[in-house]
Amino acid sequence: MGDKADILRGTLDLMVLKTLETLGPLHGYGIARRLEQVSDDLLAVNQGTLYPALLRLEQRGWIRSAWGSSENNRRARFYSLTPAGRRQLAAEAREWQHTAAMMMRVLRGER
Amino acid sequence: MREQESGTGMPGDGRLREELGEHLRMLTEEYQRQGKSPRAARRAARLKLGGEEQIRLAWRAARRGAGWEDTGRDARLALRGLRRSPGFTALGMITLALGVGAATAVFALAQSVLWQPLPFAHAEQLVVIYASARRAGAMSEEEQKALEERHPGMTGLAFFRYPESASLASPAGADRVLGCTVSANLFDVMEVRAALGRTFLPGEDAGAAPRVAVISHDLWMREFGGDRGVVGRSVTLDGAPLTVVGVLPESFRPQFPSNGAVYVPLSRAVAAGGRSLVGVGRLQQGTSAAQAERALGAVSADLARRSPGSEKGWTFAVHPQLEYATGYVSFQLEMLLGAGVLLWLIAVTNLGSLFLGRSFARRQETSLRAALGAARGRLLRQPALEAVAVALAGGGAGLAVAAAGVRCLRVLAPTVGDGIPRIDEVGLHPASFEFAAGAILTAALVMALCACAGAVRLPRVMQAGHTLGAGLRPRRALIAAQVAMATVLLTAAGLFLGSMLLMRRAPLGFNPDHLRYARVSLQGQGYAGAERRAEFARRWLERARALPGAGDAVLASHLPLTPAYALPFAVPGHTPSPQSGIAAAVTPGYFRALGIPLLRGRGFSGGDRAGAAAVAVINQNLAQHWFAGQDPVGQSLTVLPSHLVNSAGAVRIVGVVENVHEVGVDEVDYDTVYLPVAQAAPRELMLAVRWRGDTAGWNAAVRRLTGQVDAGLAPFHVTSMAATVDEVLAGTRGNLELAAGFAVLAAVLACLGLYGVMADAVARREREIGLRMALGASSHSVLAATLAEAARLTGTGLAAGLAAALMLARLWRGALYLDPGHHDGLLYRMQTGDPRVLGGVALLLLGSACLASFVPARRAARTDPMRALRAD
Repeated sequence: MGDKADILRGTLDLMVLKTLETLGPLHGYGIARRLEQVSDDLLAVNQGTLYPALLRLEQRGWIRSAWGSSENNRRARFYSLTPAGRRQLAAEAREWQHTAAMMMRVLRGER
Repeated sequence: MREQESGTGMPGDGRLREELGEHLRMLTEEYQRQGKSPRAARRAARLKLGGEEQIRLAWRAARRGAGWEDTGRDARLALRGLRRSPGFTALGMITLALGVGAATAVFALAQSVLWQPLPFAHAEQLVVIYASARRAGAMSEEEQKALEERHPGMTGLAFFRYPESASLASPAGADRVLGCTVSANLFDVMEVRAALGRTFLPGEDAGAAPRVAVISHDLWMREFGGDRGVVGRSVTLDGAPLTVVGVLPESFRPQFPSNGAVYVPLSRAVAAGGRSLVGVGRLQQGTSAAQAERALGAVSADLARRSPGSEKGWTFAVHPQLEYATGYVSFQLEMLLGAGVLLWLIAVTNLGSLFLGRSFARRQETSLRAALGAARGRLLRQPALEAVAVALAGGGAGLAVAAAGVRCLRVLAPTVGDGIPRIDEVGLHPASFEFAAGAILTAALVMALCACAGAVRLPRVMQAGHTLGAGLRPRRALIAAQVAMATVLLTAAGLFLGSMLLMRRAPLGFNPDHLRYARVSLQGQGYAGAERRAEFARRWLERARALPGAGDAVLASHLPLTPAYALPFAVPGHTPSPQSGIAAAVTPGYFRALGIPLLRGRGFSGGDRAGAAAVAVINQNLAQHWFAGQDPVGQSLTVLPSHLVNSAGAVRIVGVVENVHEVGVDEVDYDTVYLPVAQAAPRELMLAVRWRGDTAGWNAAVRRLTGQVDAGLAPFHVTSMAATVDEVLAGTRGNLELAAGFAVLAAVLACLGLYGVMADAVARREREIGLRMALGASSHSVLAATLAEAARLTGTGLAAGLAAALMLARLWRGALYLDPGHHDGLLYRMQTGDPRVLGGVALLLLGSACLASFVPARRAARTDPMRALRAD
């Protein structure tokens, strides 16, 4: 495990934040579907692992949640981005762009 | 619509179950929409969602906070990280072990001696009562009676006399012991029960001569081999037969009321006269010593009204017993504790700087991990765990160092000052472990914070390479602080050193060269009459003068630097009165033989014999204190009953001599009255001879000659004045050794810190240095620049440290100096701002700082410009 788990976790966090920023408040199923669409197979199986990640983000104050009613009028928990989450997303996105740019340069053999 | 906002309380498992259920339902509906049968859709949905139990476990783990399940793994990572850098780990552990160990050891000393209650029942209620006028002293029998009648605020009151050396003869043999005279109720007031037999009964102090004795546990073991049959046995104390009625418990430690070995009841039938009594009281519950002292004010005022004259000007002083027993070393021990804490602070600063350096050196790695999504908590946790691991290991080693330190202190203690009381009670008590725990945990906290400092406000990955200098500034500040604290310790050590050198060179007021002496006690039954004692003195001196190898030979009841007896005296026309001086009965030729200059009048002559006019010689202190502006020669003094004279009488002053150091090398303030041996006939005599032979010759000669005069008398304290001077100076040497030890440790730690920060700075600036050298800087100038940087750091710390040292000295000015009349000071004829000391400290620290940074500086000077430029 170790660093690989960190990487996976960091990636998942970032994607959840980005999803909520783009689509606004969503329940867990909605987030999972969106992630499935944009990330090929990150959550192909084990969609349930999303919930611990959501709880972690919530405890860091980056998202908040409240009960609401779903499209077919059943009770569902809706998640939305907090201002802190929005800032975190911006910061992490910048980090990723830097890292990615660096990686690209390295892989292209520049320098 | 909203039922529960997030953040209000901990979400329960119910919420997860509900969310997962809804998720499953939505998935199933989705699959059904895609055309699956309800059963197949349901199965597919379950598969997609994943094992519910696993999810629940992960969810609970997340709920527990920042993932404690990772802590174990991080701890392993931390330990692996430390193993990879053994030098760093060892340096950190040793530094903390020394700091915690030294501080804990001196704390244990201070706690055991100063703060731990004495081993008596409700020891906090016990007080000691003196009489006090110009200075605290013993009380008279009139004062004793007045107090016994009325002692407000106390439930019990007893008295004792300062102990005196006596010869104890028992079937087991003869020994010199300290005999202590105490009122019969002393042990009851102190609530001490005999370990064997009994203590005194009421009324056992009624007779003229004591008949019973209680012995200390120590004497019981030493003299009687712990024989339980000792109770009821007869012993003789200075010729008087006594029956042993009890043995005191081992916990009745010798520091109070004295290190007595044999206790006899204080006789109420015989008045000893003078001032020789000290009170021991037990306070009523809820009464403080200060309140009791105020209440006793009425008693002394009453007494002064009833018997005007002799008791005028005296009041009672009440001190807690613990303060009486150990208060005289409190300033020394507190200073020592301060030095220990300073050393610990230096160690912690050093460690903070080490971890700060490590944290910033790893910044690039940390930045990369952060960018790859490592949780902030984990980034901080691993270095924090490293710091905590080093703190705990180093702290544990520190406890071992403290235990060793306590053993060292117990060995050193007799040479510190006048010896440290209660030394056999010194050890690592629970309070010491609490102190050590506090010292270790505080260090761990500081280290952990420094270890994490590099991981907060991380630079972006690609910028990390350009912020190599980051973190050096706080490290520099820490190093400067360290140097400052080391400066304070070194300054203190320098002042002690100076004091000791000055004491060694201080004029003693007499010439100790080749002076040998021996002592006898004439307490036995054969010497009850003054004529018998005078006869012994005459024959002893006569034979000593005839010894081959003997130069000047004289007798005295007290020699300079040896234990002195007090002589109460009164000066006509002066209050408060009487005063207490030091008494010495001496034979004619004494002043010339010892090299004490005669300032006025004459010394004693053969004509000052028993029956002739009573005469005295006084020292210059007495002349200045009581006859300022007049010629004391021809005036008279009243000497009061004491061990030297039986009844009060006027003596005519015939001469004034220069002051000598009576009891220590560091004081000069006592009033001394010399009387002729022929007129005073003292019960203790010392023979002082300028001896040209060796030690063995003196020992043999003095024993032989004493035996020839009285076969039953054994001389004791057969020694030389040079040895006595050394013994008296030993106290200052012990102080100095401790201070020097602390100072050296402080300097070494400060240099280690400086080396670390300079090595780090050079390593990080390798590129810059290489570039400069490529541009033409010589290796010589690089070396100079690096050393200059080290000197600048040291200089900053040095300036701050010297300022702090001077400020502290100002704060303690009153207590620091050993002045006449103030015997607790630590500095002798040294000013705290002594330029030689301050300059020496500055040179020493700058020199060692340059030495410490020389290795990194040379490495800098040898930087290969090309390699440095290619790197990265």
